[in-house]
Amino acid sequence: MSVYRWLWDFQRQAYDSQDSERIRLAEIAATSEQIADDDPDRALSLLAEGRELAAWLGESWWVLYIDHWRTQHLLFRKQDNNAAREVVVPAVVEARKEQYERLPQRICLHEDLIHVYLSTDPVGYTAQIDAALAYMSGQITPDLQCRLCHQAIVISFAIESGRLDDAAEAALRYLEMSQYHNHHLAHAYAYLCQIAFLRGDWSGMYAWAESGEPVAKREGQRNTRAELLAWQSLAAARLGDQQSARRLYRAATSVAARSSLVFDHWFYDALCAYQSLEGRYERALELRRRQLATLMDKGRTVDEFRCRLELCGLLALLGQPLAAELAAARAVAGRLIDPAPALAQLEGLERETQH
Amino acid sequence: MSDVTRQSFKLHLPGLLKVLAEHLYSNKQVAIRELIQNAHDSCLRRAVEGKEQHYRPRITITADGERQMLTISDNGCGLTAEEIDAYLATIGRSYTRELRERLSMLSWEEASRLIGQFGFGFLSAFLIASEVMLITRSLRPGSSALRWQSSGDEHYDLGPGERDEVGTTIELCIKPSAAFVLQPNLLVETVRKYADFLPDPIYVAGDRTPVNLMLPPWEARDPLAATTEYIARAFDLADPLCVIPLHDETVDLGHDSLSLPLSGFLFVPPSSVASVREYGDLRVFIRRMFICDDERELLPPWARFARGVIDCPLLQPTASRESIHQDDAFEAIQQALEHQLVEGLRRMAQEDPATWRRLVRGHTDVITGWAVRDNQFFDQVADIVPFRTSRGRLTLPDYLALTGDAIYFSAEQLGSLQERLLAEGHDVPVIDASWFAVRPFLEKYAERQRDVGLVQLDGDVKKLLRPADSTPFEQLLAIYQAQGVKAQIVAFKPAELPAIVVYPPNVDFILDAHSALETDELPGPFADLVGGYLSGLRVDEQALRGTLYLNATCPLIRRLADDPPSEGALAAVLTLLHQVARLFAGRTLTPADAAQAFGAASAAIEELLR
Repeated sequence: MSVYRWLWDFQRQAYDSQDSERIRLAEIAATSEQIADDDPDRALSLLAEGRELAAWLGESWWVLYIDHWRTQHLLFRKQDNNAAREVVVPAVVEARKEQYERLPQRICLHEDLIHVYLSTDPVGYTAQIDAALAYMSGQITPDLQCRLCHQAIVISFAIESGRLDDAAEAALRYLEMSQYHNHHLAHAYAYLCQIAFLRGDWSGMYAWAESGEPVAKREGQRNTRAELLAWQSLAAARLGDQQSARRLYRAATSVAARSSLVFDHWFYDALCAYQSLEGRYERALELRRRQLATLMDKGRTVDEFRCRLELCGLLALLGQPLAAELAAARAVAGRLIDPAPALAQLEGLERETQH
Repeated sequence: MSDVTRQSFKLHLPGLLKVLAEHLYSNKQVAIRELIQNAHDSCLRRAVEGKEQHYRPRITITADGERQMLTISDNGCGLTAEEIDAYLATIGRSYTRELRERLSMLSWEEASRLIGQFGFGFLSAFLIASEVMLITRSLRPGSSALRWQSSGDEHYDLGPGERDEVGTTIELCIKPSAAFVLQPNLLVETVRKYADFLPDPIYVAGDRTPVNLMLPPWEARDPLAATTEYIARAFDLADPLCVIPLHDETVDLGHDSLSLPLSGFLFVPPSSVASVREYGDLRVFIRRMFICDDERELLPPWARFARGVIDCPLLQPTASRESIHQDDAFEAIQQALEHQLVEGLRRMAQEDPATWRRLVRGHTDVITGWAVRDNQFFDQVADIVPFRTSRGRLTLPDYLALTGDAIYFSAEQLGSLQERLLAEGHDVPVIDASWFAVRPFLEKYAERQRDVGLVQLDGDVKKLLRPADSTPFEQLLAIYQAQGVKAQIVAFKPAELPAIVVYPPNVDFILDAHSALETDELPGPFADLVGGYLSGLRVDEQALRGTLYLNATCPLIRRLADDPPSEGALAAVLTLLHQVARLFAGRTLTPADAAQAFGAASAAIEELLR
């Protein structure tokens, strides 16, 4: 049974029986979804209210359904891994019980848990994520939309593991799978831009971003839209169209400023790459500091390390003291399961700076 | 192929017509807007080109439900056969756009009143009509009437028509799927929605009074009264808290400045009906023609409580004219609107503090969210925002008058009876901080008022416990130690409560998760991740059984310490207190735990009875 079928049946029964509390529960869920990209804090507040109501009504499926959405907002709209982990681990433990065997969100919760660890330390948790993805592919039947979310994790994992050819192949497959699912379609374009960024394929990046941005706009996906505008701006600059690049950069930051969403590292990577390309290292440094502020105590260890590494690089370029930042980066590297590669990167940077 | 040849694109006209006519617009009523706008531009063209002293423009619309016909007629400048060929039948070429370009050199004001620009709005007629007939007679001297007819394919018929007056009449054979547009009420509503501010009178269904206002409220003799009346009519809202008229503004672009012709108004409704559904919607007009009524990007994100109407010719509509492009002018208008709104609100706070208070109270949820992000605004509202508390709505100064120097809040509703009893026992009202912006607001408040402390009650009831000297209670603690119970002496209110048991947060989950792992109920890869998470929590076994806190201020506990009964009776009483506290803790006990607690309590009672 798809989650939409289940929700539809629930709502219909609630309306048929004029069950005002259950109607309210369904409305809370729908409203929180509508406003999530504009105002994730409000969406989370509403979901907290909805969860209490669901628990009070004894609607245990709803409790887990709401937990899935809380996790999603915390992960992708607040970038708060720690808070997401606090929600999703108990939900996964609860979802093992027999009463949830047919709950469509059970698979989603498993995916959420993988996402948490993927954005904490993808290399450190490689074995677990690999095993979990293999398990998931056996659980997802072709009729379930979950295959789209699953495909998205496969791409993220491939990107994080540096397997760019696998990532590109998976992203193109995702693009094909998403043709009738605009929400996923915008993400597919964003993934393709991320891969293009890592490969330095600027014309490809421009084309993907240009195709994806209207989709994200239509779907009200502010974070994806801002990211796609930022990629478009960077690609335009790389391709020599400075005027368009400036306009697109302004559009990206304007979309970003008009929400309380917290943006992931790709957005900052695109903005900083543009600023660095223009030689505005101070501005890139400021952006990285802003990014760092969003990462503090959020459990995104790998992102925090990368951000600090970028900060060190910019400080070195600007000839500013970087001992304190290097020490902080080392401390973060120490929180990774295998800190050696991260520490080696820092040592390399330090050597380069000394020379 | 060895030679390079230059080729032309080919147009598949039926396909293009279908796309433009059927897929460009999201709703069918747009067709009426496009035809009214053409009629308006035609009237304006006659006024400009005809130079007739007593010319009075006029547009009439009639619906014939029986024949399924809609007729839109104007006394504008009409069309010649050449103009029909050059403009009406040439997609993408707009006479109005060309006229505007010519006029902009001579009369900017008249140019700015022309609306058409893309040259394919007329095609939208085929959204609602299976056949379109146009009977027109041009203003040009010696022109005769013409009849143009098309059913939306690549061909049209043009021949002599019958019409005495200069102007154009369009007759539409309405498709069955669009028959609803013929309903008189809907027709009036559509005209009002799209063309309320157009200066030409629009008569519908033979009515002698125009259905449109013809004048935007900000151009009325008494703009404030007209605006208030318009808000009541168009937004179904009486008595807005404030109305801020918009005016032209010059925006500094750093390297340059931009003069923005800006009209309209912003207003604040008396209160939020449901704050989560407020988006700061603006109704947008361009050259007095309605574009959309839910533009959410123009107002600053914090201004969700405000709404309004804006007309600015610098805004660029999309091809379907149902939304606007976010270009440089859009950004400049965003800036101007924010500036004018902030100025308006600031003025209100200074000159009309009573209304300002009503605004803050009426939109508390939205305003707390804004204040958290804006220090200057925070200072203006910090003392007047009311919060939901266990004693009703209170502002922070009123709240602090009751509690002294501390703000007690709970981020979730206080769950257990034990938590609620402890909070009330403390004799303090508790602020409900479950709404997302409340907690950061309180934190900001406490940060700025150094002598104010913040106490979160939920999640850690230990914050309501105070240290107490344990010396007089050593005997009691020794008995608990012998029973394997972790116990401490503290002081808390109410004094009638002898003991409570406090568990680590999420104890139920931790126990459940351990059980799931021990019995292999979780799929392998997820068991690894959950196991790793549990080890990271570092909660010891003893803590999972809970800590018993004995209340040093409770007369019963004091009596047991000062004047203990026999050793057996004392042990039984203490067991009883412990088990009652366990049952009272609000933690869901497993059936086995509950049976064990009742068993121990019963044994203690039996001991006492012996």
